[in-house]
Amino acid sequence: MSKFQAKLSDIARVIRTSKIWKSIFRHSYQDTPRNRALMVLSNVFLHLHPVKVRPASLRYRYTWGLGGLSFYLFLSLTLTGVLLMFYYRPTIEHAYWDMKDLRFVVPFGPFLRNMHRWSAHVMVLLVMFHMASVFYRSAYKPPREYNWVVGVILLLITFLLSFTGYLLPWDQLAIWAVTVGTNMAANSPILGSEGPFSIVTPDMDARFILLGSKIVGQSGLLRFYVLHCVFLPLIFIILVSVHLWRVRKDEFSAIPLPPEEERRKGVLPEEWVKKHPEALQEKVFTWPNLVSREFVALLAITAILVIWSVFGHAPLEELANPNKTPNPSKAPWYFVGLQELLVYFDPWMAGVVLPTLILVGLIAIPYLDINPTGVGYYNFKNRKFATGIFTYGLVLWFGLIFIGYYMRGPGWELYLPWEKWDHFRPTSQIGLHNMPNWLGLVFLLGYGALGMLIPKIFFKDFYKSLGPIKYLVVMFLVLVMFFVPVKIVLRNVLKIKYIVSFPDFNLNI
Amino acid sequence: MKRSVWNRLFIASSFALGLMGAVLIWQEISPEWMRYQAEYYRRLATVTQDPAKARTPLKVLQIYLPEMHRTDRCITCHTGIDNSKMKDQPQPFRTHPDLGIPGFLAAHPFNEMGCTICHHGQGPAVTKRHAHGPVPHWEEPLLAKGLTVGTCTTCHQNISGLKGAERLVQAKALFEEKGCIGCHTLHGKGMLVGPELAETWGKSVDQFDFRYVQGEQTVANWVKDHFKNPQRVSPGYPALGIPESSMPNYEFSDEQIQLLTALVLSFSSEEEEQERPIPARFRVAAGPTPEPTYASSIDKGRAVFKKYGCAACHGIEGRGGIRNKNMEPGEEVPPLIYVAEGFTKEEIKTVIRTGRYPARADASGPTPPLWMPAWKDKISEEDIDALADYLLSLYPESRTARPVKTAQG
Repeated sequence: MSKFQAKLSDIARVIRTSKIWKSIFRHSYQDTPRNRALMVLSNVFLHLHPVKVRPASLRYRYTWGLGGLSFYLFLSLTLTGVLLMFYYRPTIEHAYWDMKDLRFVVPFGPFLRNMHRWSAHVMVLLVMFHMASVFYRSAYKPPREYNWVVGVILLLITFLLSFTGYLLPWDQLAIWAVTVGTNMAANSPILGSEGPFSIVTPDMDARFILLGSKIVGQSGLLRFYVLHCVFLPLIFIILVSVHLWRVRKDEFSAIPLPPEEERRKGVLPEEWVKKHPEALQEKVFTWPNLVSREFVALLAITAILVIWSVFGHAPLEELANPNKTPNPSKAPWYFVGLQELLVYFDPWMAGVVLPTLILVGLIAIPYLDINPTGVGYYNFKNRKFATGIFTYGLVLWFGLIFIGYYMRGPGWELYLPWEKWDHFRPTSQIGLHNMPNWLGLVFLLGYGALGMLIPKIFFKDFYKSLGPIKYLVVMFLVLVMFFVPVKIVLRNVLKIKYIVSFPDFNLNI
Repeated sequence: MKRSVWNRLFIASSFALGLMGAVLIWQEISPEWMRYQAEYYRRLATVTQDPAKARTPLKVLQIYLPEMHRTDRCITCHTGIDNSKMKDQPQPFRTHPDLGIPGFLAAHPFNEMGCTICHHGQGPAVTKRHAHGPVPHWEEPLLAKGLTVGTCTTCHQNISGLKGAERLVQAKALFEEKGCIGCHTLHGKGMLVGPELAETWGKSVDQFDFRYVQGEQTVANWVKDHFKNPQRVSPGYPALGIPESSMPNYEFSDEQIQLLTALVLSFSSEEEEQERPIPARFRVAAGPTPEPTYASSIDKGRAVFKKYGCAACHGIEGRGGIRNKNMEPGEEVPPLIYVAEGFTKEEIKTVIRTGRYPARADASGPTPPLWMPAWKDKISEEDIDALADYLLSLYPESRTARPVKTAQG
């Protein structure tokens, strides 16, 4: 050891034995089992993890890291968001020009804004994928039902966070997307001034509560700003704490998979685990096994987003102009599927009733699905009905988004994704007619009655295992889901606009 | 997954992050404008023979005009516009010319008015591509040389006699000669056979059909191309019964097209002005226009004929010649010089007041695109009377024997 090194280690020893150092770092860094445990136990952030986990939890093809990455994106969005707040004024005089300043003169301004924008899109996508992966590996089944509910609410808040942020640049894209969204609120049944059975006027309805005005203007911008920067993140933090805490309390769901030859014989992992309880007991230290993998995953997604943000600029269209409606005006991509439904349903259905049913349906899943199979691994075979319906829902959701986003042009006319838009093409929505109301009512009642009865008659076990109440709820939700393609066919093939129509009550289906 | 794959992912991500960090820092410390500004100060040092000038710190320069919602950073690269020593330098270092008009520069102080109010372009931008355009979503790209004159009317409400705006005056004369408001309205004055002209420049690019327009998708280009050949740019949808543009092809020269495009640019609607307000102190009000006096009713009628754009369809001095597809007779708007043959004064006045739709030559063919609008609410009775006198006076004196009543009015 040279003199210099000796000197250095002397200094290091002094530092490491000092009161200040020891007050912060409670244990040494030597690689001992004790320190591995302490690494997690004595760190408030890493303490989200248990000290030891089952090796099955380390399989990246189990969670794909989607939950953790979503949370990480929330944190990084908070960071870029706070930095953006230093340069942004939520007033209609300044908001748009502050965007231009960020783009052209603020140091690292374009990077900051791009990073915030792209991370937000990716977060919305990852949260949706996270939900899908949780569904397919039955991680919502007992004892984790309640955490699924919290997760669905977090998904809703993620949408709202992204949607409120969409308005802030105050360009044409922003105000018209938000106009589309908030006009749906005005079409809520009862509480929207334009919805069925309305009891309110336009200056006190649901849209007015959101915007503080009948149209998207200064008060709406301020409300969305406060919701985006303060209220929704606060709610998100509270709920995500509950969500993570419950994950910690209920443990990671992953269970060890049986060996290859057993699996080929058709042995289910939960049966195999019962016979081999020792496999379930096997655990490894979280530090470094899990923490290092999480770190690399974060690094990888950060790298992807940074590359995207260096080369791809966040959109900024013309200054918002309430007198100039772009054609088409599209909602943010994750709501474009609902906007696409506006072709087939009145706004109170597409914008209020169906989204509410989607949320209620998602929340109800753990309480309706009584099949205990499949917890802790991907299982499609033994839960065909559940995965089939859920997959159908996902395909419908993303399919409608794809059509709405890539295949709709001026006048919401159908175009192929590579086709050039023609602003002067005349409308194709001609020759539509309504079903006579008496026939429509018979049709609706027939659809409902047959839909309820046929599975009961042909799948007796299905009905028996669910019991009458759960059966009614499940079949109601399923029938609503299949009502969407029914209306698509009725409109496009048979040219029927409404099945029943009561214009006096704004009630059309 | 094997440990080594995680290692590789770690190394690749770290490398990508490091590289991107370097790219970001490079972009931050060497923006495009810096090259121009540094070159400007080097040239300034040579011109003034003061080497210290070359070491002027570089920074984004801007003219901030909150009243007009404008921030013009053009001077970041065009740093020398108000430095008279830079007259002979190339762009972007050159002094702003005074256009040969004494007092022009003093009357237009750059630091109070900025640049984009006259030249358009994206003021906040500091890259050439974004500042000059055209770029998507900035609908006022830098105006081409011959068009800038059109923005004089932003402040100068009366351009007749305005030095430097001669071309606009010329354009206005052409506008009146051709009788554009016979079919178009301008601030609500005129006839709505064609669209309102004041709104042209305020429309967004989306509202124009660019499928048959050559060159960049800007409003200026659309307007130019449409002047060149209205039917090529707006062919309609014959298959669906949507007719082509009914605007006659006047076969304008390129110079005339440039003039008229600048003129269309000089019109602006109220909405457009609300979006980017111009402070009242910049406005140069129009002086009172004297009420013209006429020697005779015929002279007055000639002025009415001109004022309401009758020449657009009926030709200058009523000599006719404008094509109107599928119109009876002869697919042409009728000349007016022979009206005395077929109409009494009262009959002429009735046609002017109530208008008329032309008969189709081929009954199964399309409706003729041009028709005679009803003028009764637009032209006063007095003026209609004078107009009728004028029309009757057009009858050529050389024609002595009046033929039998056949002409169509």
